[in-house]
Amino acid sequence: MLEPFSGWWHKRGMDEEQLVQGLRSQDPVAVQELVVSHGDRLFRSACLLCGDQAEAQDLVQETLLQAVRSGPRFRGCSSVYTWLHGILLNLTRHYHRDRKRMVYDEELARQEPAPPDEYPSRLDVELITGALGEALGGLSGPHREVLILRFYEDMKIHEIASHLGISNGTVKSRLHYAIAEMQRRLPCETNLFGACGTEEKAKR
Amino acid sequence: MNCRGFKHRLYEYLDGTLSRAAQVGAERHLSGCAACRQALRQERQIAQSFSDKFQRTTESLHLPPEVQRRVLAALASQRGARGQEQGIVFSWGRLAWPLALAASVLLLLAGVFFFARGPRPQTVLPQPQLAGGGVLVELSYVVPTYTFRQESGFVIDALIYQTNVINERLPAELTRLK
Repeated sequence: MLEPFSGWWHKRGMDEEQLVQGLRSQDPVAVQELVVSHGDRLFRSACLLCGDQAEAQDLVQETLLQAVRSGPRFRGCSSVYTWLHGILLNLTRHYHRDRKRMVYDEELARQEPAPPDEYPSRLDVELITGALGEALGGLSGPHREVLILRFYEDMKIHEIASHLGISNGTVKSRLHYAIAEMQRRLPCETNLFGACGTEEKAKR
Repeated sequence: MNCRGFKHRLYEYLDGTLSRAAQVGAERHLSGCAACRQALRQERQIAQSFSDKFQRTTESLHLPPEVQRRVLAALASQRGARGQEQGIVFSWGRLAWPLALAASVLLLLAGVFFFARGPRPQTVLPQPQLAGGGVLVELSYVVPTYTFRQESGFVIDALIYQTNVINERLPAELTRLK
Protein backbone atom coordinates (compact mmCIF):
# COMPACT_ATOMS: atom_id res chain seq x y z
CA MET A 1 0.00 0.00 0.00
CA LEU A 2 1.32 3.40 -0.94
CA GLU A 3 2.12 5.79 1.85
CA PRO A 4 1.19 9.45 1.67
CA PHE A 5 3.99 11.50 0.14
CA SER A 6 4.32 13.79 3.17
CA GLY A 7 4.81 10.80 5.47
CA TRP A 8 7.46 9.36 3.20
CA TRP A 9 9.22 12.73 3.10
CA HIS A 10 9.16 13.05 6.87
CA LYS A 11 10.50 9.54 7.35
CA ARG A 12 13.50 10.29 5.19
CA GLY A 13 14.14 13.50 7.13
CA MET A 14 14.59 16.92 5.64
CA ASP A 15 17.83 18.59 4.84
CA GLU A 16 18.43 22.13 6.07
CA GLU A 17 17.15 23.76 2.89
CA GLN A 18 13.93 21.76 2.85
CA LEU A 19 13.43 22.56 6.53
CA VAL A 20 13.86 26.30 5.89
CA GLN A 21 11.43 26.17 2.97
CA GLY A 22 8.94 24.24 5.08
CA LEU A 23 9.23 26.72 7.95
CA ARG A 24 8.70 29.65 5.60
CA SER A 25 5.47 28.08 4.39
CA GLN A 26 4.63 26.96 7.95
CA ASP A 27 4.33 23.37 6.84
CA PRO A 28 3.33 21.18 9.84
CA VAL A 29 5.68 18.43 8.65
CA ALA A 30 8.59 20.88 8.74
CA VAL A 31 7.59 22.08 12.21
CA GLN A 32 7.46 18.49 13.40
CA GLU A 33 10.88 17.91 11.88
CA LEU A 34 12.15 21.04 13.63
CA VAL A 35 11.03 19.73 17.01
CA VAL A 36 12.33 16.22 16.38
CA SER A 37 15.73 17.27 15.05
CA HIS A 38 16.50 20.23 17.34
CA GLY A 39 14.17 19.91 20.34
CA ASP A 40 16.35 17.77 22.60
CA ARG A 41 19.54 19.71 21.95
CA LEU A 42 17.75 23.00 22.51
CA PHE A 43 16.17 21.67 25.70
CA ARG A 44 19.52 20.56 27.10
CA SER A 45 21.07 23.89 26.30
CA ALA A 46 18.13 25.64 27.98
CA CYS A 47 18.59 23.45 31.08
CA LEU A 48 22.23 24.51 31.32
CA LEU A 49 21.37 28.14 30.72
CA CYS A 50 18.58 28.45 33.28
CA GLY A 51 19.30 25.47 35.58
CA ASP A 52 15.68 24.45 35.89
CA GLN A 53 14.06 21.70 33.82
CA ALA A 54 10.49 23.02 34.03
CA GLU A 55 11.58 26.51 33.07
CA ALA A 56 13.74 25.08 30.31
CA GLN A 57 10.71 23.24 28.93
CA ASP A 58 8.68 26.46 28.89
CA LEU A 59 11.56 28.36 27.32
CA VAL A 60 11.99 25.80 24.56
CA GLN A 61 8.26 25.67 23.91
CA GLU A 62 8.17 29.47 23.60
CA THR A 63 11.27 29.38 21.41
CA LEU A 64 9.63 26.90 19.03
CA LEU A 65 6.39 28.87 18.98
CA GLN A 66 8.26 32.08 18.15
CA ALA A 67 10.20 30.22 15.48
CA VAL A 68 6.98 28.93 13.91
CA ARG A 69 5.42 32.41 14.01
CA SER A 70 8.47 34.10 12.50
CA GLY A 71 9.32 31.21 10.14
CA PRO A 72 8.11 33.05 7.02
CA ARG A 73 10.55 35.88 7.84
CA PHE A 74 13.56 33.60 8.42
CA ARG A 75 16.17 34.65 5.85
CA GLY A 76 18.41 31.63 6.30
CA CYS A 77 21.55 33.70 7.05
CA SER A 78 22.50 31.24 9.79
CA SER A 79 21.76 27.58 10.42
CA VAL A 80 18.29 26.76 11.73
CA TYR A 81 19.72 25.66 15.08
CA THR A 82 21.75 28.88 15.51
CA TRP A 83 18.60 30.87 14.74
CA LEU A 84 16.62 28.86 17.29
CA HIS A 85 19.37 29.25 19.89
CA GLY A 86 19.35 33.00 19.36
CA ILE A 87 15.64 33.09 20.19
CA LEU A 88 16.25 30.86 23.22
CA LEU A 89 19.03 33.16 24.49
CA ASN A 90 16.77 36.20 24.28
CA LEU A 91 14.00 34.42 26.13
CA THR A 92 16.43 33.15 28.76
CA ARG A 93 17.72 36.68 29.38
CA HIS A 94 14.15 37.86 29.93
CA TYR A 95 13.57 34.92 32.24
CA HIS A 96 16.60 35.79 34.38
CA ARG A 97 15.60 39.46 34.41
CA ASP A 98 12.11 38.53 35.59
CA ARG A 99 13.48 36.24 38.27
CA LYS A 100 15.56 39.05 39.68
CA ARG A 101 12.39 41.09 40.03
CA MET A 102 10.54 38.25 41.72
CA VAL A 103 9.38 38.99 45.26
CA TYR A 104 8.91 35.96 47.44
CA ASP A 105 5.63 35.87 49.22
CA GLU A 106 5.86 34.52 52.75
CA GLU A 107 2.29 33.27 52.54
CA LEU A 108 3.21 31.10 49.59
CA ALA A 109 6.22 29.75 51.44
CA ARG A 110 3.99 28.63 54.33
CA GLN A 111 1.54 26.79 52.09
CA GLU A 112 1.36 23.02 52.05
CA PRO A 113 3.99 21.26 49.96
CA ALA A 114 3.05 20.53 46.38
CA PRO A 115 1.89 17.01 45.46
CA PRO A 116 4.65 14.60 44.38
CA ASP A 117 3.85 15.02 40.67
CA GLU A 118 4.74 18.68 40.89
CA TYR A 119 8.16 18.06 42.37
CA PRO A 120 11.03 18.45 39.94
CA SER A 121 12.33 15.20 38.54
CA ARG A 122 15.48 13.56 39.86
CA LEU A 123 17.50 14.92 36.98
CA ASP A 124 16.12 18.33 37.62
CA VAL A 125 17.16 18.22 41.23
CA GLU A 126 20.54 16.92 40.17
CA LEU A 127 20.93 19.69 37.66
CA ILE A 128 19.94 22.40 40.10
CA THR A 129 21.67 21.15 43.19
CA GLY A 130 24.59 19.27 41.63
CA ALA A 131 28.04 20.71 41.73
CA LEU A 132 27.93 21.74 38.10
CA GLY A 133 24.52 23.36 38.48
CA GLU A 134 25.66 25.28 41.53
CA ALA A 135 28.84 26.44 39.87
CA LEU A 136 26.95 27.48 36.72
CA GLY A 137 24.34 29.21 38.84
CA GLY A 138 27.08 31.23 40.50
CA LEU A 139 28.18 32.71 37.19
CA SER A 140 26.61 35.83 35.78
CA GLY A 141 24.35 35.36 32.73
CA PRO A 142 26.91 36.64 30.18
CA HIS A 143 29.66 34.41 31.58
CA ARG A 144 27.37 31.38 31.66
CA GLU A 145 26.25 32.00 28.07
CA VAL A 146 29.80 32.16 26.77
CA LEU A 147 30.81 29.01 28.66
CA ILE A 148 27.85 27.00 27.36
CA LEU A 149 28.20 28.25 23.81
CA ARG A 150 31.86 27.33 23.84
CA PHE A 151 31.82 23.95 25.51
CA TYR A 152 28.30 22.65 24.96
CA GLU A 153 27.42 24.19 21.61
CA ASP A 154 31.03 23.79 20.49
CA MET A 155 31.16 27.22 18.89
CA LYS A 156 34.32 28.97 17.79
CA ILE A 157 35.24 32.34 19.31
CA HIS A 158 34.11 34.37 16.29
CA GLU A 159 30.85 32.40 16.11
CA ILE A 160 30.09 33.18 19.76
CA ALA A 161 30.93 36.83 19.14
CA SER A 162 28.58 36.96 16.17
CA HIS A 163 25.85 35.06 18.04
CA LEU A 164 25.98 37.40 21.04
CA GLY A 165 26.75 40.57 19.11
CA ILE A 166 29.97 41.28 21.01
CA SER A 167 33.64 41.46 20.04
CA ASN A 168 36.04 38.50 19.93
CA GLY A 169 38.05 40.14 22.71
CA THR A 170 34.99 40.34 24.97
CA VAL A 171 34.21 36.68 24.31
CA LYS A 172 37.75 35.63 25.23
CA SER A 173 37.74 37.80 28.32
CA ARG A 174 34.39 36.40 29.52
CA LEU A 175 35.44 32.87 28.73
CA HIS A 176 38.70 33.25 30.61
CA TYR A 177 36.86 34.61 33.65
CA ALA A 178 34.12 31.96 33.47
CA ILE A 179 36.63 29.09 33.33
CA ALA A 180 38.60 30.50 36.25
CA GLU A 181 35.40 31.01 38.23
CA MET A 182 34.16 27.47 37.52
CA GLN A 183 37.47 26.01 38.61
CA ARG A 184 37.32 28.04 41.78
CA ARG A 185 33.70 27.18 42.55
CA LEU A 186 33.73 23.46 41.84
CA PRO A 187 34.64 21.57 44.99
CA CYS A 188 37.77 19.49 44.83
CA GLU A 189 35.97 16.14 45.16
CA THR A 190 33.67 16.74 42.20
CA ASN A 191 36.12 18.68 40.08
CA LEU A 192 36.29 16.75 36.83
CA PHE A 193 38.88 18.98 35.27
CA GLY A 194 41.72 16.72 36.28
CA ALA A 195 42.88 18.74 39.26
CA CYS A 196 41.49 20.94 41.97
CA GLY A 197 40.72 24.57 41.35
CA THR A 198 43.43 27.02 40.49
CA GLU A 199 43.50 28.37 44.02
CA GLU A 200 44.02 24.88 45.39
CA LYS A 201 46.80 24.35 42.90
CA ALA A 202 48.44 27.58 43.91
CA LYS A 203 48.33 26.53 47.58
CA ARG A 204 50.11 23.31 46.75
CA MET B 1 55.58 35.33 17.98
CA ASN B 2 56.36 35.51 21.70
CA CYS B 3 54.55 33.92 24.66
CA ARG B 4 52.25 36.89 25.14
CA GLY B 5 51.29 36.90 21.47
CA PHE B 6 50.63 33.16 21.51
CA LYS B 7 48.46 33.31 24.63
CA HIS B 8 46.54 36.18 23.09
CA ARG B 9 45.76 33.99 20.08
CA LEU B 10 45.40 30.70 21.96
CA TYR B 11 41.63 30.32 21.37
CA GLU B 12 41.95 31.13 17.68
CA TYR B 13 44.79 28.60 17.45
CA LEU B 14 42.54 25.95 19.03
CA ASP B 15 39.71 26.93 16.67
CA GLY B 16 42.00 26.77 13.64
CA THR B 17 40.93 30.26 12.60
CA LEU B 18 44.37 31.93 12.57
CA SER B 19 45.68 33.29 9.31
CA ARG B 20 48.26 31.14 7.56
CA ALA B 21 51.12 33.42 8.60
CA ALA B 22 49.93 33.55 12.23
CA GLN B 23 49.51 29.78 12.24
CA VAL B 24 53.08 29.26 11.05
CA GLY B 25 54.31 31.77 13.66
CA ALA B 26 52.38 29.98 16.42
CA GLU B 27 53.73 26.56 15.38
CA ARG B 28 57.27 27.91 15.33
CA HIS B 29 56.83 29.43 18.80
CA LEU B 30 55.28 26.25 20.21
CA SER B 31 58.17 24.13 18.99
CA GLY B 32 60.54 26.12 21.15
CA CYS B 33 58.37 27.03 24.18
CA ALA B 34 57.51 24.37 26.75
CA ALA B 35 55.38 26.75 28.83
CA CYS B 36 53.08 27.56 25.91
CA ARG B 37 52.86 23.88 24.96
CA GLN B 38 51.75 23.22 28.53
CA ALA B 39 49.23 26.07 28.39
CA LEU B 40 47.84 24.67 25.13
CA ARG B 41 47.59 21.16 26.57
CA GLN B 42 45.83 22.48 29.66
CA GLU B 43 43.37 24.48 27.58
CA ARG B 44 42.52 21.37 25.54
CA GLN B 45 41.98 19.36 28.73
CA ILE B 46 39.74 22.04 30.17
CA ALA B 47 37.69 22.15 26.97
CA GLN B 48 37.38 18.37 26.91
CA SER B 49 36.40 18.22 30.59
CA PHE B 50 33.74 20.89 30.28
CA SER B 51 32.38 19.33 27.13
CA ASP B 52 32.23 15.83 28.71
CA LYS B 53 30.63 17.13 31.89
CA PHE B 54 27.96 19.12 30.02
CA GLN B 55 27.20 16.15 27.77
CA ARG B 56 27.00 13.67 30.66
CA THR B 57 24.79 15.94 32.74
CA THR B 58 22.30 16.55 29.99
CA GLU B 59 22.35 13.41 27.84
CA SER B 60 19.37 11.84 29.62
CA LEU B 61 17.24 14.96 29.20
CA HIS B 62 14.64 14.82 26.45
CA LEU B 63 12.12 17.39 25.41
CA PRO B 64 8.73 16.12 26.64
CA PRO B 65 6.44 15.06 23.77
CA GLU B 66 3.68 17.44 24.94
CA VAL B 67 5.83 20.36 23.81
CA GLN B 68 5.70 19.06 20.25
CA ARG B 69 1.94 18.57 20.53
CA ARG B 70 1.47 22.12 21.86
CA VAL B 71 3.61 23.64 19.12
CA LEU B 72 1.75 21.74 16.41
CA ALA B 73 -1.60 22.68 17.97
CA ALA B 74 -0.56 26.35 18.03
CA LEU B 75 0.45 26.11 14.38
CA ALA B 76 -2.87 24.49 13.46
CA SER B 77 -4.80 27.22 15.26
CA GLN B 78 -2.67 29.92 13.61
CA ARG B 79 -3.24 28.40 10.18
CA GLY B 80 -6.95 28.08 10.94
CA ALA B 81 -7.20 31.76 11.89
CA ARG B 82 -5.29 32.79 8.78
CA GLY B 83 -7.44 30.49 6.66
CA GLN B 84 -10.56 32.24 7.94
CA GLU B 85 -9.06 35.64 7.12
CA GLN B 86 -8.14 34.37 3.68
CA GLY B 87 -11.68 33.06 3.30
CA ILE B 88 -13.09 36.54 3.82
CA VAL B 89 -10.64 38.04 1.38
CA PHE B 90 -11.28 35.24 -1.07
CA SER B 91 -15.05 35.79 -1.05
CA TRP B 92 -14.47 39.45 -1.87
CA GLY B 93 -12.01 38.37 -4.51
CA ARG B 94 -14.64 36.16 -6.07
CA LEU B 95 -17.03 39.10 -6.23
CA ALA B 96 -14.42 41.49 -7.56
CA TRP B 97 -14.55 40.36 -11.19
CA PRO B 98 -18.35 40.30 -11.56
CA LEU B 99 -18.55 43.69 -9.84
CA ALA B 100 -15.91 45.17 -12.10
CA LEU B 101 -17.62 43.74 -15.18
CA ALA B 102 -21.01 45.05 -14.09
CA ALA B 103 -19.52 48.51 -13.45
CA SER B 104 -17.92 48.48 -16.91
CA VAL B 105 -21.19 47.52 -18.60
CA LEU B 106 -23.04 50.23 -16.68
CA LEU B 107 -20.48 52.84 -17.70
CA LEU B 108 -20.67 51.69 -21.30
CA LEU B 109 -24.46 51.83 -21.35
CA ALA B 110 -24.39 55.27 -19.72
CA GLY B 111 -21.94 56.42 -22.38
CA VAL B 112 -24.07 55.02 -25.20
CA PHE B 113 -27.20 56.58 -23.72
CA PHE B 114 -25.50 59.95 -23.25
CA PHE B 115 -24.06 60.10 -26.75
CA ALA B 116 -27.29 58.85 -28.29
CA ARG B 117 -29.07 61.79 -26.71
CA GLY B 118 -26.16 64.20 -26.53
CA PRO B 119 -25.38 65.40 -30.02
CA ARG B 120 -28.90 66.55 -30.93
CA PRO B 121 -29.90 67.11 -34.51
CA GLN B 122 -28.64 70.47 -35.57
CA THR B 123 -30.95 72.50 -37.60
CA VAL B 124 -29.39 74.99 -39.91
CA LEU B 125 -31.02 78.32 -39.92
CA PRO B 126 -33.39 78.68 -42.83
CA GLN B 127 -31.62 79.73 -45.93
CA PRO B 128 -32.85 82.61 -47.93
CA GLN B 129 -36.10 81.86 -49.59
CA LEU B 130 -35.99 80.11 -52.84
CA ALA B 131 -37.95 80.98 -55.80
CA GLY B 132 -41.56 79.78 -55.40
CA GLY B 133 -41.68 80.48 -51.66
CA GLY B 134 -39.83 77.32 -50.42
CA VAL B 135 -36.88 77.17 -47.96
CA LEU B 136 -33.79 75.02 -48.32
CA VAL B 137 -33.08 73.25 -45.00
CA GLU B 138 -29.90 71.35 -44.14
CA LEU B 139 -30.32 68.84 -41.30
CA SER B 140 -27.44 66.91 -39.76
CA TYR B 141 -27.66 64.22 -37.13
CA VAL B 142 -25.36 61.67 -35.49
CA VAL B 143 -26.02 57.95 -35.40
CA PRO B 144 -24.00 56.05 -32.78
CA THR B 145 -23.25 52.40 -33.53
CA TYR B 146 -21.88 50.05 -30.89
CA THR B 147 -20.19 46.90 -32.17
CA PHE B 148 -18.20 44.18 -30.56
CA ARG B 149 -16.33 41.12 -31.73
CA GLN B 150 -14.32 38.30 -30.14
CA GLU B 151 -10.68 37.74 -31.01
CA SER B 152 -8.57 35.02 -29.36
CA GLY B 153 -10.36 35.14 -26.07
CA PHE B 154 -10.71 38.93 -25.93
CA VAL B 155 -13.86 40.93 -26.53
CA ILE B 156 -13.10 44.04 -28.57
CA ASP B 157 -15.80 46.68 -28.62
CA ALA B 158 -16.12 49.90 -30.61
CA LEU B 159 -18.44 52.88 -30.54
CA ILE B 160 -18.70 54.64 -33.92
CA TYR B 161 -20.56 57.88 -34.61
CA GLN B 162 -21.79 58.51 -38.13
CA THR B 163 -22.98 62.00 -39.05
CA ASN B 164 -25.74 62.12 -41.63
CA VAL B 165 -26.69 65.32 -43.46
CA ILE B 166 -30.03 65.83 -45.16
CA ASN B 167 -30.70 68.71 -47.47
CA GLU B 168 -34.42 69.23 -47.99
CA ARG B 169 -36.56 71.91 -49.49
CA LEU B 170 -39.32 72.99 -47.18
CA PRO B 171 -42.48 73.95 -48.99
CA ALA B 172 -43.68 77.55 -48.60
CA GLU B 173 -46.76 76.43 -46.59
CA LEU B 174 -44.61 74.95 -43.81
CA THR B 175 -42.40 77.99 -43.49
CA ARG B 176 -45.46 80.03 -42.59
CA LEU B 177 -46.39 77.84 -39.60
CA LYS B 178 -44.37 79.82 -37.03
